[in-house]
Amino acid sequence: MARYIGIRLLAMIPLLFAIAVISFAIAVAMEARGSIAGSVCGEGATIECIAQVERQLGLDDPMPIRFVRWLASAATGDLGTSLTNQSVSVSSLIADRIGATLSIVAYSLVIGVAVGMAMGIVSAVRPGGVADRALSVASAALIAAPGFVLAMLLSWWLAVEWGWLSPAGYTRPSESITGWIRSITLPAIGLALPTVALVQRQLRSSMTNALQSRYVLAARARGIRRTSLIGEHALPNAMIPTVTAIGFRAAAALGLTFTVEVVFNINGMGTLLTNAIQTRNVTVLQGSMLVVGIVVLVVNLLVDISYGLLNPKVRLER
Amino acid sequence: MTAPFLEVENLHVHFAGRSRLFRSAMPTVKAVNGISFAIEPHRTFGLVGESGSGKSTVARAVLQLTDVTAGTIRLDGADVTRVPREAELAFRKRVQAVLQDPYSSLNQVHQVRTIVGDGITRHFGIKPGPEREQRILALLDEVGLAGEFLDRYPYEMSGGQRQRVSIARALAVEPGLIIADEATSALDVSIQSQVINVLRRVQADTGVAFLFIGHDLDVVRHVSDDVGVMYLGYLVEQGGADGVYDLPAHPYTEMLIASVPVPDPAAQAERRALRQTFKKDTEPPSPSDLPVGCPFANRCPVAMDICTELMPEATAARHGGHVRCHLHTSGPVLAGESVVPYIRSASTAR
Amino acid sequence: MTRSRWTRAIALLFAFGMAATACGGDETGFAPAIVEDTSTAEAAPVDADEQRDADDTESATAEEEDNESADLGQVVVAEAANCAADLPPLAPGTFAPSGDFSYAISIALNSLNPHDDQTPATFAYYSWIYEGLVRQETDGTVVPWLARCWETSDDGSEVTFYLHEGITFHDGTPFNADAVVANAEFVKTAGPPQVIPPVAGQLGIVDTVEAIDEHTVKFNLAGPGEILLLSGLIRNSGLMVSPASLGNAAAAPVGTGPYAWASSNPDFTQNDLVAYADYWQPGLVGLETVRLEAAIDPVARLDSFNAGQYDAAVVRLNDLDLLLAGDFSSNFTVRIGFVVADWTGQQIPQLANREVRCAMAQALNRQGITAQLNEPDSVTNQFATGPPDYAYIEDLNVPEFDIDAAKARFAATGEEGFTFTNGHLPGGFWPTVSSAWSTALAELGITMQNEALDPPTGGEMFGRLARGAHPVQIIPFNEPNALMSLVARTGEAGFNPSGVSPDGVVELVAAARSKNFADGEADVAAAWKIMLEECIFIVNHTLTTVMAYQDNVQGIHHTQGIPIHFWPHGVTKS
Repeated sequence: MARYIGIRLLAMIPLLFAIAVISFAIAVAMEARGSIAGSVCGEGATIECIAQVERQLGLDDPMPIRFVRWLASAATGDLGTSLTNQSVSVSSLIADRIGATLSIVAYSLVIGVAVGMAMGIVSAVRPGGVADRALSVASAALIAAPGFVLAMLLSWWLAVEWGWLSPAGYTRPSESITGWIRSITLPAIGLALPTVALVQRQLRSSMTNALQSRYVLAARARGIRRTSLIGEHALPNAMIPTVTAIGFRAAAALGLTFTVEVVFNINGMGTLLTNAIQTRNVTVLQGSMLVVGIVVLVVNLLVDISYGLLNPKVRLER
Repeated sequence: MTAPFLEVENLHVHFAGRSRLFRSAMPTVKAVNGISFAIEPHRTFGLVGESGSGKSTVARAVLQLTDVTAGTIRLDGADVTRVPREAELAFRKRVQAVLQDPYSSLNQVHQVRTIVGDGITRHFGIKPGPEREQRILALLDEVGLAGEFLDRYPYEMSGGQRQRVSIARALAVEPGLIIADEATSALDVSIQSQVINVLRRVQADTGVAFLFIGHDLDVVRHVSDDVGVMYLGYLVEQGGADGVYDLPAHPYTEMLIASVPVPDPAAQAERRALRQTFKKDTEPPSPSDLPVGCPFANRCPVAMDICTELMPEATAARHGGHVRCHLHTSGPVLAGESVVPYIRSASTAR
Repeated sequence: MTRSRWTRAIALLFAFGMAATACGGDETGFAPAIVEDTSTAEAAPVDADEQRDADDTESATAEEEDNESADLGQVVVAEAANCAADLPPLAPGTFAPSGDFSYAISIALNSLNPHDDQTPATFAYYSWIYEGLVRQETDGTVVPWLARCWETSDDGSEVTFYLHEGITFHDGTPFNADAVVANAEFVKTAGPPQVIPPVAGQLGIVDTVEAIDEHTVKFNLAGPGEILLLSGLIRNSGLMVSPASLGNAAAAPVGTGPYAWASSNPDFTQNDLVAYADYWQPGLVGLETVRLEAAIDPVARLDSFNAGQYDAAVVRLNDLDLLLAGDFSSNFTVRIGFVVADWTGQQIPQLANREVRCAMAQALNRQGITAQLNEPDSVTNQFATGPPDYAYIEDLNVPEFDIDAAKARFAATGEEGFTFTNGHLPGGFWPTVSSAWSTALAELGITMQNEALDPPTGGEMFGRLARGAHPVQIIPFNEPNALMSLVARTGEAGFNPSGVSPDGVVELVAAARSKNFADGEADVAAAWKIMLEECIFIVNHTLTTVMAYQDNVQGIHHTQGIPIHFWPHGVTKS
């Protein structure tokens, strides 16, 4: 297993580099629209000002040198300062906001996988039955429905009327654990719905296969208990393809946090990225893209590890 | 003769077909039609037939994995035709199965330790630990696998090794009967004999009875003490293994024998000639649409008119068992003798 | 304003109509009224705000009558006499504030230095930390604040402020004339990387600022423009930042206000303030800690407020009937306008035609656009809008909204549809406005293209207008003041909107430069009348900030969005 993880980690390195290149390139491509120095100097920019800013920020160097310089300082944790406010460092901005996004995405995965698994198992145990059909229809609906709309509807009852959850805003776990949970539940639900549907469908299919397999038949013949059949015999096999689907979904969810963040007034990476695009805040954009890319890589690594834990073929490679 | 461990009487297993949207008729698949046989401890009964003959269904019926439509099954004297929920665990302890496909019959995410051991835990209440491990090692030893196999996963083992693990798994609950359903069919010939030897040894050591199901008459014959030949749900011939093989009383049995190649060229040529007397290209009838008479009639080279009208009853055969064929009661009235000379003469007559 | 005041104003307008020189009364047609704080002599309050409460006081009228009969010069002298009176230094505060307060605000601050951001909505939030020389009341009147009074020179181009003594910034440095000079200089010419600070336009009328002595500071204006100066000082540019911290006030603000900055998260979406004990005097309602939290989505903000997450929240006018509890107060913010002048007279020949401009005015004006902007599903419309009020300008002949009349008028000009580029602020409120207007103009066959500015600051837009880079602009909020300031500053030479008669230009400049309080309103009203009737400037609507607060929040008085009515240091008010 250690070797398996080690190989995966090694594979991350070229990917990291690719992400860095892409982040830098996209941000730099925005320069074509309006130069960074021009942004900083403002409308009444004089030639002297532009030249001075370019010198200060090192913008007059050739692209590869700028890239290497940016990458080198990024490796030490310095991602530069925001273009709209020079006294704000990009890394502090990201550090401030990433907790919210990660909390919501992680929580949405927990909800999505838990509910999806429950639905999938119930469906698979009696395929074609009433429960199965109802749950499959529900899945199809969940894929189609925009999650944040449902979350907003729920928000009216759960948050405003009954006050169980908070309707908007993000409370840090350092301030209050219960407040934190209450603030991320609705946004997580908004993000989780497609995950629920995906997991339900995938698990139903692989679970049905597993339950119809020879080894489950043999286990039945051995008198193995039904719960054990489902949980210990069929489920570990069924989770193998499901985990891959979950990993895919996790990366996608990171990209979808924006809508949820806007609607629930959460200051996370989604709003940071889009604001940076709107205000042409190149440094923030570069740094955010790099960090989000790293997060996605880490998520993929975790998925690979879980896959390895589930599928002995992959992890042992003898 | 000791009391039989397994007794099957007049077993019928029919499956009701699912009604399709635009069809009013619901075809019933008659998988097993009136089978009767018995197996004593220390003995192996071989059930042989083509695919679709219903032999796997018999296995499932005995294992209570399929509902029995009619007939009786008795295990060690107890009626187990329909086992109630409360008695299920005890029942499952007494009869076990080793299935055909070594690649799908073991759970790929479980180690051998778990595969063999969970039956021990379930039936004897011994949690995973040193005591259970001892038992598993003993079982592995019985089937000829070393202790290092405990931590192996199925994909790390060959087909033969997996089947041995399956046998160990079946043995783990200490059953009185093990059903080996095509247990060697997916294996290489050399491995087959290894596994067969394992089965023999297991039987000698533990006294377990075997119901050995296969489609290869040669293999079945080597393994079994008694043999039953199935065709489309009917037991058309049964008797001692050597007897059925040497003196087949049913044309279908003879067809099976003839289809097994032999090393001797002359004998092989003869076999081929014999095979060709059978109408090879004729499809057997569908089990959901069985004819009134003998189901083999349309393929039998020596079929008579009565064969299409009436299903023959069981009559005594020379080898000591039974046969269901009109040839012994009508027409040539072979009266239980081998049917081979008659078919040969019928073929040369053409 | 009572009718009697209006009658008197008009009478004086006729009387002084002949004297079309730079000397005149201090008035502005729409800037808030100026009221002396504690003295008895006061100029006629000018009431030009759209949504102020009709708070006419007969006593004020009585006082006015005294002034109006006085000479112009005497008004100034009377002020100076009051101003020179010595006042003891302020004692430090003794009241201990208590309680926590959380306030959900509608925008995210880019910076905590008010001079970095000209968005008027931010003023309400900066006012917790900073104070200005003057302050605008709910009814629009301007009262002295950090300055205890001011006086204006005869020609109106010098305004001297006398500061309170004994006020210190949160970092302990004294608030004095040098601090005012430092702030003004920062506003006018902050060094790179910002060449023109966004709020520079607000002090456009100012040439230099000098410290006379420790508590006296003089603004030298480009022309007579006391009103214009004050209308700039009531905005972000007038807030006083501690000179020692001007450099990094963007992240660590230091002001003189009731609450000192404690901490913020990196993007200033959560700002924690603590009471500045030195500020608080007995009898004032004060809080111990305040959190200003940005909650940008208005629906979510309302839900949060209804769920009790915040003590107060900015809500949209359209959402008021969705409040589940609590009460609310509202205050107008500013208005926005649309300049259609071809400043250099060169760029878009069609705009030289007054009829074309007036057809545009008719298409753009009033309810038509206001209705569109009041659409409940206009998510970016953070502020409620109201119809403009030109009541202060007599005999105003501004075309009412009438799209059919506008089309007919435009067709009659013989100019086919043309295209012009409008510079505007990307994001937020402005696309709603500009898209509503471009839709209206499209009805006439005129295409308005929007060029997203980079960077987006109102000051920059205004600068472009002044340089002729954009003949047409949506000028936000209080920039009309800056516009008038520019008119006054550049004079006939610089201000040459095509289609306006030379006499009209002269009149307009004169009116812009007028400073007479007594009938000054009429003069500046005259300036606005010209601009509106010549269809150079279309003032469209006002913006209102509504603040909702929970039932248990006591003693709320809403001024510009600040829930507690702060009183000047050392002064109690019943």
